[in-house]
Amino acid sequence: MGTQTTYSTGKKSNSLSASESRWGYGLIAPMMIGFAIFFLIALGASFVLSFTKWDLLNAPVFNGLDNYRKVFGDPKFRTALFNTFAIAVPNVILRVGIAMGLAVALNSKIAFRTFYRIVFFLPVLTMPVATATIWKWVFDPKYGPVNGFLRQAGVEGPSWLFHQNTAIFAVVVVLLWSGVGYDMIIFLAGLQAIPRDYYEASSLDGASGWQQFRDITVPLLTPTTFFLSVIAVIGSLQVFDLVYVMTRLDTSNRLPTLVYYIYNLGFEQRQMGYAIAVAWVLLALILGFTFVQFRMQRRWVHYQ
Amino acid sequence: MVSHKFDRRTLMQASAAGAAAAMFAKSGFAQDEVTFEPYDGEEVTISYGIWDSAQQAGVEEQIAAFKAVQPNITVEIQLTPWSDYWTKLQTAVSGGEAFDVFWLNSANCPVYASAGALVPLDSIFGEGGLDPANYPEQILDLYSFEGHRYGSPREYDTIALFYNKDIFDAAGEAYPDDTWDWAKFREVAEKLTDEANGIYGVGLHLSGQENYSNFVLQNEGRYLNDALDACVVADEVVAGEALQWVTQFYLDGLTPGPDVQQSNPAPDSLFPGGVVGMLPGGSFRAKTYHDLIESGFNVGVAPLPQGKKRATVIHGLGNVVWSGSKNIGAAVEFAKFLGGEEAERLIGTTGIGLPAFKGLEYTWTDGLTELDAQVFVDASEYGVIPQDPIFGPAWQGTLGEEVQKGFAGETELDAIPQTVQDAVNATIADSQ
Amino acid sequence: MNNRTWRWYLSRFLLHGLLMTLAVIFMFPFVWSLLTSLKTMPELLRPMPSGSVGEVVRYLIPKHWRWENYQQVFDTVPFGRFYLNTIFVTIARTIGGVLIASLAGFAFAQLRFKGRDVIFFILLAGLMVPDQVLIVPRYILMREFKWLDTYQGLIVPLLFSAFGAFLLRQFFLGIPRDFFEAAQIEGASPFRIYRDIYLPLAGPALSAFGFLTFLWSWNEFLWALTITNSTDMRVLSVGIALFQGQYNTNTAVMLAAANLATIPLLILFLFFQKQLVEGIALTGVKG
Repeated sequence: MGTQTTYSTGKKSNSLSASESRWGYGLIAPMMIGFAIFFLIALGASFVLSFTKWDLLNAPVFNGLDNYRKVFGDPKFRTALFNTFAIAVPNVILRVGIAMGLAVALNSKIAFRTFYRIVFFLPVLTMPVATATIWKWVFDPKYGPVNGFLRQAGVEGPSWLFHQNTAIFAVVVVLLWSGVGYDMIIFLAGLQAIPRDYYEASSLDGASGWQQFRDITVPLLTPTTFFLSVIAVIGSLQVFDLVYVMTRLDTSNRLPTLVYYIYNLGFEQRQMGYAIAVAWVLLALILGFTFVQFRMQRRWVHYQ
Repeated sequence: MVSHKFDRRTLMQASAAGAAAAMFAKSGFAQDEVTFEPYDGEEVTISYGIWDSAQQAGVEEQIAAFKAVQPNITVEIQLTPWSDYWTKLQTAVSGGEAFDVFWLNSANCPVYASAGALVPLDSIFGEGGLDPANYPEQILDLYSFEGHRYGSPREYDTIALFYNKDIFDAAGEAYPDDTWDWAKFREVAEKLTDEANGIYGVGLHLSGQENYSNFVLQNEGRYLNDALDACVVADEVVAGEALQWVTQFYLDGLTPGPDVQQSNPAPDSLFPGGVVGMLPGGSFRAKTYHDLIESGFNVGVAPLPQGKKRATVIHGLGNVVWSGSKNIGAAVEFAKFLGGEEAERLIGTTGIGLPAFKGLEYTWTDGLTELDAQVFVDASEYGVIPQDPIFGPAWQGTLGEEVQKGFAGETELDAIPQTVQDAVNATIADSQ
Repeated sequence: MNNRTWRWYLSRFLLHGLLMTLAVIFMFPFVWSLLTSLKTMPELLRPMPSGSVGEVVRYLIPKHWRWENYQQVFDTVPFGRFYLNTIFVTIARTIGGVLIASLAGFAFAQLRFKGRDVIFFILLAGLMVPDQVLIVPRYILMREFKWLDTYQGLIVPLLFSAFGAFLLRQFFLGIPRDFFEAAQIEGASPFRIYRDIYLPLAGPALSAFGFLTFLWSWNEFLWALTITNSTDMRVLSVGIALFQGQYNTNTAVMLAAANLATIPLLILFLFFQKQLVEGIALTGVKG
């Protein structure tokens, strides 16, 4: 693969790069203008509001750094933070790994591959409300099939969604179930961009399937892998809907995550100013992780 | 340099507040004085925010009846899913464009009223309007705040004891009746419970309304003090006692635990599914259960057992008018119509619930031929409305969460009252 | 093909064993949803016997197949209207979204301009804030635009996908810049290079992003819920949620509605996955 240059550094005239620059701004303009209007304005407003006490119905009252000071001493914030990471870490690692395995397997000339692709993608197509309903029942301690089968084997299963540790396990299972198909599709698209010639050349050199996977597929997929890891981190740290519905208990939640806590504070407790401050802490946290990921990519991501 | 610091802070404060104020300049915040022109007959369209698709057909009949009286006012139903209704309503009111008329529960009434988001509806009562004497006093109180009425009465609900006749027959027990007290209730719950066959004697729902709140009231207890700013569950003892008495049912396995009800709430699936003997449940369940009778669900209903006294939670929705509405006059006309006899009759005949209009209760009970639904009407006499503080319902969430920890055995039985009180007080402190 | 030794057969056997097991787990909830959507109310309420596999299977299969549940979906709410709204909004969001994101993704990957990486990172921040805290300011913005309860409001604010720009940037980065420079020397403008060279090369990535945008838009809930009010403007995701009542939900009818909403996606996916993987010969980069 040594024939490809990375980030060509050939000299160009100044006028050429000036026009390239103009084109660059021009081509990102539609995205960035829309982004500014529909996102940055609201984000700016939320930044101001994070320094207020605001119950949504009455006008916001400025309260300085109180909200931010409060975040760090808030035990509920810490619980939510812990739960979020406990879900995010296994989810990110397993999700990207399993999806890559599935994509590679289903990109080869394997029997029933269309069937497999459809089946592994089915959860992504299922409406979220149906997903939650079904899985709540699957993990039901008394009437669910999981504990039913355990009982057949002579084991009394736990109340999966009721206790923190088992709920984390159950939630990760469901997140993987509903997410790997999505990543698999993106990996499949990435696999299509790997030139066939590479495989043909290495076959002539007598490389085994495993060697091809290790030396061609994995390195050339790294831009996709990088993308999916970044997105998985961003998404996992904001995990909400599914966990919310699955672990809801009447008016409370057995497995509060950060975005659940933000929602709960903002709309249920009507402390929107504080909720927004927590959201900004979350933003800082995700930004930090993403930045590190971008910094680290030079070590392992291969662009052609 | 102290003054310098102070100046800077004031400046920052002023600019931040300025930015926020500019942003919300046209929002629906705090209009102290709501004045409006009475409806003058012009052609307008108003929106009506509701959350239950099951009631939509009945509401449409009410609107058709209103159209006959006020042909120039068109009412458009805006249906929001129940689970998202409050989020949506807060966003809409806060964002300055909300429903003209909408459903509200009592817990949110002081919150919205104190923020100036509701139009006082005192004018719809009195001469030429609704006669307060036509409604149970509690229903009027639900939507009264600081001397003004904000809600047009709609329907009400009370709690009674549903029971599964087949389970009683199999155990050879007599059906519940109005002589029952707590001891009898507990005794029969034990007798009906049959672990080997998966039968629970009683299904105690996780929510207060269909469970512990009734028993707290029956034990002459309450959650909050007179000023509605502190929890007294432990201090006044009686409420705490009632909570402990209820908790014992869970600890003894007489009712499905919170872990089981997390995905299978007793009133929604376990009771109609035939594995629960008795269920304290709201009148809003009656129609669903009644309709299952023809497919073999053998259900009956009796008054709740009594404690130190008879008591049940009574609640009902109110129709309220948004103060930011561009057509307050027309909206008030509609709200008035909804509280009147004609619209109230439709509440009963379409099966929505018990009309708040006295004397029309039969329109609802008549539709439930196979159930003694009159017990719900009778219960209104000893119905007690919830305590709804100005800072909103967040404390109820904390109360529920802590009580459920007790049900799950996560809080020692003895520690429950104090734990609940402390947690609720912490939430109250945050909410104010 | 004579290298198919017993090892080959064993490894295939194990692979298919694993995939089939996974497939059953992945399919199960879907099958459950189909079967449950056909149950009657009394059957729905019957708790499942927690016993043998046979008992579970017998429990899952409806005694009386109640096809009327599907009819009831249309009788309760104007589901057809929700369908049309969803199709219209989704197509608009997909076309616009792919166009805008591919332009930006191309520029971020292949063009050099000052502040490029910083701007890109700021764009990514768009993915990092939970929608819940932005909803009120955005609602006010929509009110100021008079876009509440309109198609513009449903479509335009959601056209700017940082996710898409990032995804396509990654794919465009995979294409050697040599192509770009060669074309530039021949005097082609960056836009023409994008249109004539890069866009065709990114075929699989574009169709993947297009499909995922379609899917996301089809299921999008929070925004649609927040800025639409009237029944005429509602989309499927909100329509399904309407079947959840405060006190009683007919799960069968709700699942019937969810299944009806899923069917077009399933059909679309059948076409898409074939095109995605079999279009290699046309779009694959010739190294």
